[in-house]
Amino acid sequence: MSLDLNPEFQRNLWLHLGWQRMMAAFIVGVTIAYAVFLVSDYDKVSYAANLLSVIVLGMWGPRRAADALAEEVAGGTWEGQRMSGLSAWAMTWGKLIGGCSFVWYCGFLALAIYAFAGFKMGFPGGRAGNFWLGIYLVLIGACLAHASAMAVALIRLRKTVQYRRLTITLAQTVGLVVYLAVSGSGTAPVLNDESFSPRIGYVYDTAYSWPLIRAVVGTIFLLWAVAAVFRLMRGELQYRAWPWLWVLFLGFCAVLAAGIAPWPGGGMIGAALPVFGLMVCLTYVAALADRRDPIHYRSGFIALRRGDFSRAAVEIPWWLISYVATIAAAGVCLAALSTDTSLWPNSLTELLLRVRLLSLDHLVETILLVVLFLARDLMVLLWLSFGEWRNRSDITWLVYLALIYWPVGIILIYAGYGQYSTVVLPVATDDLVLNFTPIAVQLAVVGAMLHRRWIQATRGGSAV
Amino acid sequence: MLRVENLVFDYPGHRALDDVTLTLGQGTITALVGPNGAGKSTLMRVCAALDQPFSGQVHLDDLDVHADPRGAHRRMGFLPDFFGLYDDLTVAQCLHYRAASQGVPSALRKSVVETVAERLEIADRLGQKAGTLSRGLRQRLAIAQAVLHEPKFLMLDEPAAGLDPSARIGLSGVLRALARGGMTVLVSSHILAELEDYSTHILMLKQGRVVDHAPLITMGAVTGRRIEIRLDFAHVVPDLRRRLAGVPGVEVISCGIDEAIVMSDPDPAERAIMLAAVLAAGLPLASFAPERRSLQDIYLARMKAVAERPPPLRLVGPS
Repeated sequence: MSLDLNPEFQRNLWLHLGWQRMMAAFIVGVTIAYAVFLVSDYDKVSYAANLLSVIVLGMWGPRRAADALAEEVAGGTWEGQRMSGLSAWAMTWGKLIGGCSFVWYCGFLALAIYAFAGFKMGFPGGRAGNFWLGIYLVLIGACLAHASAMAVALIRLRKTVQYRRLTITLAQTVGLVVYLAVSGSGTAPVLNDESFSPRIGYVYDTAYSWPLIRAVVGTIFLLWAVAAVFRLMRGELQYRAWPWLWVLFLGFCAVLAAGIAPWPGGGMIGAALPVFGLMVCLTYVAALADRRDPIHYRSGFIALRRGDFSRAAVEIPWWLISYVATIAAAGVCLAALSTDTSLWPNSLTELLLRVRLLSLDHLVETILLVVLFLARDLMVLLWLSFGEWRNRSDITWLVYLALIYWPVGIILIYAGYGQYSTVVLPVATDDLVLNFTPIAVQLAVVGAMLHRRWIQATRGGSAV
Repeated sequence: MLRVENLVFDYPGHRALDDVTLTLGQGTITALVGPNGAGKSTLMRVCAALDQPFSGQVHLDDLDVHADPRGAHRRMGFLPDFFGLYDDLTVAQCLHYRAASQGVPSALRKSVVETVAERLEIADRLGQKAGTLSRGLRQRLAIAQAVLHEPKFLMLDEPAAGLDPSARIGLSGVLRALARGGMTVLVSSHILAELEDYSTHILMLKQGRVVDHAPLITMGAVTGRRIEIRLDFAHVVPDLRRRLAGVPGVEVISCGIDEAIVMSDPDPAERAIMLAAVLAAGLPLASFAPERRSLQDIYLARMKAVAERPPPLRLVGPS
């Protein structure tokens, strides 16, 4: 009886997991470990094995995961895959695990050496506080990193099939950051450090060790990342879906941000402000990830006008959902601030005061300004996306953001025009008119420009 | 078989397909022609459910291809203009992978691979890596991958690009054989002479609109609403023009000493009456057939006839 493997997984095994490569990797790995053992001890062997797992699973793995997709596009085989009868789920795990099969083989080899060294040392706790929890963090971090890298590659693919190297580098960077955030870079170096104890964090005011929080949160984020890859893959196969996954993800992030506060006992505002900040960040990320195709937006508008809410929901851009969530979070913050200022936590106050420009006296105005500045930035991005620079709108927008929020703001403040900083920065001052007039004017101007470009892109003209 | 209804596809600021409606019958080979930017590749990609239209529908038999893309893909094959192969896999591995990914049961895969390899004449290359094949053999392997699951509908975008003359002749044979087996084929190409060899129908696009869609055999003879019929006679007929003009229902366009071109109604029944009348007049008729002009002549005439006009973007409802 032959085992009927997922064809995509099988194909990747054919391509990447030849016995010659497996033998070579085994010989190299064992030789290095034995050489390290001869010149030092098992602690250094575990250190070397951990370093190797970071390089293999955290750096090379995300690169392979992204390239599993990018090489299909560059090689012209991607359309063939999209025309196959494979389900989105089969493509997702076939690529995710199959494309990284050799990476996993090498990674497991490194972890086996790490475990062997740990066994010889009596399985010390290390930075995770528990030897096996440390290994779990590495595994979950690697899975999450690979899935995140593939999600980034899929998002880039929706926007452009060009710039393969940029796509892979971006995906690899995201993957490495995710890997380090979950697994921690230094689980192994202090395996024999008996005095070390893991840092403590708070989840809804209950104390847990950070490695345990990372393990649980990392596992949940892994499920989100795989769901995201699946959803994006379905999108590539032209299946239409409501954006419920993004809505649920925003909800999860809000619960997480409210619960895992860096300062315990912050009260309602202490929980709401991190949620607000996270929603702002997610809106920027979602806007950057979106294709921002005016034709799809127009389809959504027309469906809405015709009362076809199902079709309209399919076309809702994720950044718009995030923006609505941001407004809701801002509303909660304002409600918390207006009810009782004694709810303001001392630790949060200190934190905010360290940011020189922020003043708690104008926190309400500042929150409103952030919402308005976010709207302006989104409109600028759409304006760029509907025009001739469509393919370069991402990078142009990032340059615009970097310029407007950093050097221009600094120049205004240090040149003695700090009272006019609300032209470029969402930081409220004593003057109510100066707070809101500049952004109102900007919104009006950018809105008019955007409307003109929208007409060009959707009703004729030559925007492209 | 394939039914396209009011298809509209937009790029920002540009309408690529404008209210395209057509039907392709089973077992036909339709040549999709038009100038660069006419919307040929976009039409194929939308029919293949690789892109979503702004509005309109594509049905393969009773299946809405955009409602169930995967279901449609199991019934159709598509070879894009820039296709790729897994160069490090053998021909057999490429075909096995394709068979598995198209849902061919594992017990049948071996025979399916062997059959399609025989059909495309690559059975002797099964152990060879795809990266070492010549351009013509790569093309055959790519077509084999596209047809291995016996699709009802096959689309090929510029399949003859880069092929030498003998490989092109081979490709024509392959496509004719597939159509004989009941497969409906849509081929896009700029090489009109080659399309003429194997196409049964022609579909002309310009600026995203259908300019013409008809059987090649009638289109070659159609002038307005009527068709030209070529009459060949067994020997020289004295005073041929006058004698033909005297036959009821015959309108002579041009006339030689043993051949003539006459106008006819496209209705086959009317043509049968005309044929009977010519024979009844005692003329030594040797052949009676629609006059075929070259595809290139037809193409140029039709394209010239269609005035240039920029397609507007109308606010019509999406599907």
